Amino acid sequence: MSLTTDLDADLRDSAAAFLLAVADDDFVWGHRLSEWVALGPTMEEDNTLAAMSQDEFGHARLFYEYVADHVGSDLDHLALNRRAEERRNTTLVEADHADFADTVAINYCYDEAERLLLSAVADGNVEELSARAAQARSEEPFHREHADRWLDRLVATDEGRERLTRALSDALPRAADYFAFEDAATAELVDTGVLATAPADLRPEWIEAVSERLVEFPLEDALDAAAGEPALNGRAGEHTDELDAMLDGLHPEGHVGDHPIQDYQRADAR
Amino acid sequence: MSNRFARSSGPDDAPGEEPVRCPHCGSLDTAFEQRKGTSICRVLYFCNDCAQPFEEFR
Amino acid sequence: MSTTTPADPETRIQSAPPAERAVWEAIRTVEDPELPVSLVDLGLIYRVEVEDGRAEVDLTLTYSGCPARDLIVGDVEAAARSVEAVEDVDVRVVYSPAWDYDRITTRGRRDLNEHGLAVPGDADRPDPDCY
Repeated sequence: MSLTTDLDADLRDSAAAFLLAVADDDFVWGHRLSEWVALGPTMEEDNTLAAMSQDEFGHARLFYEYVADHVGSDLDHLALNRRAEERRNTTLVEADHADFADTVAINYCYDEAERLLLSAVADGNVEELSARAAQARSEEPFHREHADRWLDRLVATDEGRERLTRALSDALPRAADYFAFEDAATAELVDTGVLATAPADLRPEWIEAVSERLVEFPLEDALDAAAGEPALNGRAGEHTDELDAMLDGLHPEGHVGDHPIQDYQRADAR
Repeated sequence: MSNRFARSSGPDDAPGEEPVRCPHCGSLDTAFEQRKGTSICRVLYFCNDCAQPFEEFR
Repeated sequence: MSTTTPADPETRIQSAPPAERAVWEAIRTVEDPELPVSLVDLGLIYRVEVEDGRAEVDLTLTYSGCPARDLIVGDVEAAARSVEAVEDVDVRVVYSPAWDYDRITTRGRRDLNEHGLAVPGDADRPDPDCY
């Protein structure tokens, strides 16, 4: 099935909105990971976080590009020019953080959720879209293993355990918006087969996986919040000032919403 | 604080069980070092035989 | 040199019509920006078709975040355009079928090994000439 030829305009717009959310997740998280460059807790981790960041930008591109090509707009505009109120990423990934424990907490919570959402797209029937989701999914195991290793390592000391517990209790409630897409829109996407499963139907699986993995931590309240109504719904364009500041930082002074690069050519092609 | 975790990767994130052949000397006595090397498509290994590091394209 | 991979491009290249074959041969000279290996030997070029002066090329990347992407696409476009029968080129990056190491040709594997890179599956294929 083709998004361009087989769906009506409204459904195409719904699909685009959904895909932009997925892309925004990757874009914002990729950016937060890149902020660790030269500041990583170990040299090796510095390299690893940079590699993960590169992967995330690659995944963002897979979906921004798909929307740009099939629904309209320009790749750079979608990625770089949209203001916070236009973004649809989960608030889980937008926190400006300086504690590595936060990085690990978000890495774990986010990648555990993304695994499910990517499969819903990969198992859908829009071939090119499915292939892109499958490509992103194939590059994620390394990220999940990274989170898993650090969840174990950080608890080896009392301080590590304490900081990680704090980080997880901050991250989990923010993750309440990850699956909080508007039901009517996603129902259409599932009916037409663009998505194999509705995000709301994936949420219980995420809660179960996270509860099990984090059973050793005192996180009952945080897990309840993760399973409840989000305080701030990034899927509906509700975001923190931290996202505003992050997006401002992408542009030179005075250029927000108007990315300067209009044309890209190889030097020997000019 | 202990420096037990000074190296954040090790055998627990090795790509696979198959032995990797050193491209310099051909030996299979090689040790996995790091999942991401100089770029995202490189895995870092060390050859115990010729004592050189090398990367695998993966 | 014969190659033995599942998606062996050699047979396709040899049996392609003249214009397509010319485009394949032109792309064969394009190396990965970071590795001294042809994109064709890396198994990244999935499809070449030429009709009425318009060349279409489908290629893939080993990672979606490949930083050499724009260079690769640009080089492939330029190579296809260099063929006399070609006036118009459309290069698409596709993600299906998913790329895997067994798409690397024997020559590609040798070129990577000579450059000092191991390739998955080397242990099953000792090449005494390399060491």
